[in-house]
Amino acid sequence: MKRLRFPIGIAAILGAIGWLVLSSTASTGAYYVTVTELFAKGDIVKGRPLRVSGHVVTGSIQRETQRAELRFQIADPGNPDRTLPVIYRHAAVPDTFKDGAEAVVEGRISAEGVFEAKTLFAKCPSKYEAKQPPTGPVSS
Amino acid sequence: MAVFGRIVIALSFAGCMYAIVAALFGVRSRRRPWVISSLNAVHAVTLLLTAAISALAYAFLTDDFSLMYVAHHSSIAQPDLYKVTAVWGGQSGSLLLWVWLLALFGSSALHQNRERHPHLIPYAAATIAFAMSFFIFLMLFVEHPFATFAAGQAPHDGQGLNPLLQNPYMAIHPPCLYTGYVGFSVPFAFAVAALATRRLGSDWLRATRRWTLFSWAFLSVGILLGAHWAYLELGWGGYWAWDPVENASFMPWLAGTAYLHSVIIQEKRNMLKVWNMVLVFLTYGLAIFGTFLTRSGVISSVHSFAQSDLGPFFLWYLAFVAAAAVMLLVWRRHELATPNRFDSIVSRESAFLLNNLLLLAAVFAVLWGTIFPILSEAVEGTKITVGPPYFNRVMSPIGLALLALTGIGPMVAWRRASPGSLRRAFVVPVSVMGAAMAAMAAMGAGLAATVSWGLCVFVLTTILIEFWRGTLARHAMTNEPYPVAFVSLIQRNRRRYGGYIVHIGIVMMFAGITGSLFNAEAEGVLAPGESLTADRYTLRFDGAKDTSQPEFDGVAARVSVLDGERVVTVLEPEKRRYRASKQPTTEAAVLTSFREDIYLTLGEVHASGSISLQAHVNPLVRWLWAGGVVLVLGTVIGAWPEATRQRATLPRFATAGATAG
Repeated sequence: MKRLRFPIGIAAILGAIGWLVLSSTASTGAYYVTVTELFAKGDIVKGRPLRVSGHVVTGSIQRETQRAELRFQIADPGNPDRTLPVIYRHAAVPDTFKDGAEAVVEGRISAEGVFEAKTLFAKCPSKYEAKQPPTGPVSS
Repeated sequence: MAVFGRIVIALSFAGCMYAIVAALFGVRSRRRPWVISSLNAVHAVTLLLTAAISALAYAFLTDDFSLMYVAHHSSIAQPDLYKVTAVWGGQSGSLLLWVWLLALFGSSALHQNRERHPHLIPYAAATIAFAMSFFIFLMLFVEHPFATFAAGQAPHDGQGLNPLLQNPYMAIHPPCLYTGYVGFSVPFAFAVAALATRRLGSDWLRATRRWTLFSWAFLSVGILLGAHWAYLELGWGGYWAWDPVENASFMPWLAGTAYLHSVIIQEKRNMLKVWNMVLVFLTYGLAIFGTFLTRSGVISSVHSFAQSDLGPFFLWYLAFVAAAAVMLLVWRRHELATPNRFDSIVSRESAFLLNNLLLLAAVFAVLWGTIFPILSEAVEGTKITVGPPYFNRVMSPIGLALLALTGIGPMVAWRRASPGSLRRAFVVPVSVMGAAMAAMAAMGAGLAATVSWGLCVFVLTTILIEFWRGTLARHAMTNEPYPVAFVSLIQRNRRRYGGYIVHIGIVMMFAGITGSLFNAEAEGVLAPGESLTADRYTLRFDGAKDTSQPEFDGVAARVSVLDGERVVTVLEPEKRRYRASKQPTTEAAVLTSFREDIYLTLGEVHASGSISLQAHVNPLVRWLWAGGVVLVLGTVIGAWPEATRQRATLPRFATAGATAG
């Protein structure tokens, strides 16, 4: 019995952590899809936590001047007609957010089909893209 | 310059190849001159790479835009400091920095140990030369830092370094992080040498102990500087987002921390030899894997950017290292067996074991969360991401358990702790913790904060008791005045007390991170004269002002911070738009104190003269950075060479000072 104490203890700890990892994955996981994939999924995504990537449709950015509110549309470069309207109600807009930027929004789709973004990330449309992959911070 | 750089890098590759062959031939045929020759080759490579990186820096300083790398990462108007740091502002320059550091450390470690551990040297040299050759290969055949434009295509001015990187933190964060990553190559190389030569005792650990500490400290500082940079420069009011790029540096840190601890068991009890090998390989592998993650673009990161063709090469190298490590371990499995067993579940050994288990579980949890999008896409066909909520949920309990162990471990006796000794060791710290937790609960701190800060108090108490007892014992023995006894206590047991000081730093960090539970934020659109309330502060927008400089157009908002009627300070959050790159950047304005940070960022500046302002009040953030300083201090004390002759004159002290250990 004494010999088994260590293995049992280790197994119990690993089991607990394993459970923690799996249950947290299940409860916090969000689908990460492109705009096209989002529409392909249909209604099942309504109300679920989502992460959607797409490019900001040029000319679609509307800034509310009276309150912190940003409306814009995103679409995939390969499928520019399928656009997703997004509303973002925070003052903190990434510096890289602009027409044509690649954006990732996190949030849910409302019943009206508008994406209510809680967070907004944006990547610059890199000026080197044509010639060479962009290089960035070396914080690997 | 380009031709010179190309020749030098090609020569350094040849030098590495020669060093590998000469070292292996020398050791196999027992011809010492060949081993010495291979060491000289490693030193020569170091010189060549020093020339290469100097040449690249020179090209930046002289605005040599015929080099593509310079043209893409610098411009004439760029300040000289950022011209130099632009050397590692991109892909191929980072490779050059990495391999240059590896050469420097490899050369020094080999030179340092050539007499003391002559048997390990040939294999260690071959391993280091091999690791260098991989990075040089990448420069030569994938991304050459000295690649030039076709004749006549060179631009007159460069595109400029990404303005986000034009920041003092970003200037030193990558070299620090790389020093940490690369430094772990030294223990890795000596571990390989130990396996190859069957010298599996503590020799290789002793040869590399300081290198491990050195790398670990730099990795810690690198991670913290990155966090500080993100905090000041990215403008979202936080310092850690569990982004893949951040996780990539955190995983080797966790594994390296496990290794630092488990090494102690091998030195004291001659146990866990296989485990230590596994940990050192894992740490090195995770450093490479981290580089792969950030360079390959397989996982999209908020820090985004670095995508390149390097990914598959890193994966192949990683696979090779992993396969070689497993083969070496299987091959030497009999020699690695140890007669010693764990005696009792209540002992210092099991505390260390638990620490290792939890740290590796943390590595696994971070790895799982980081690569889950890839896993889920492979299995389910849909990418599923887990964000900060996942990491916070999983890592908080693991972190708190580790924090508790930081206090428990050092107080438990080796081999077997008796119930009486445990009672003596823990009655005071547990009482103090209980009182502190009751006070915090009464003040309404909430469960999570109460537990976390309570554990901080517990650990701190155990450490203070250790210092207190040691000082008393020393005073009793030498009759030195207490302050002198305290200093000489640390001086004569640097490893142990240095370690405690590192633990104090860790406690400070935990305390600071726990402060984030009380973060407050507010945002709004303000016309001049209007105010916003954040926590107990009133933020009044007084007006905008122009802050333009030659490199950028800028505008800043003057915001008075009021606590009641009293003006605390005037902060000026700023928005810049760099002329060369046309990129806007947000310059947060922060008033920092040990109590809290008041953190303002400027959003839009509207045509009407009103602004979008975002405010964060983040308690205790400064404790995180201060903890980093203490951590470095403790590491330096712990790594400082102990004067052996002093020990000899005071043989009784070892027992006197070890009452609790």
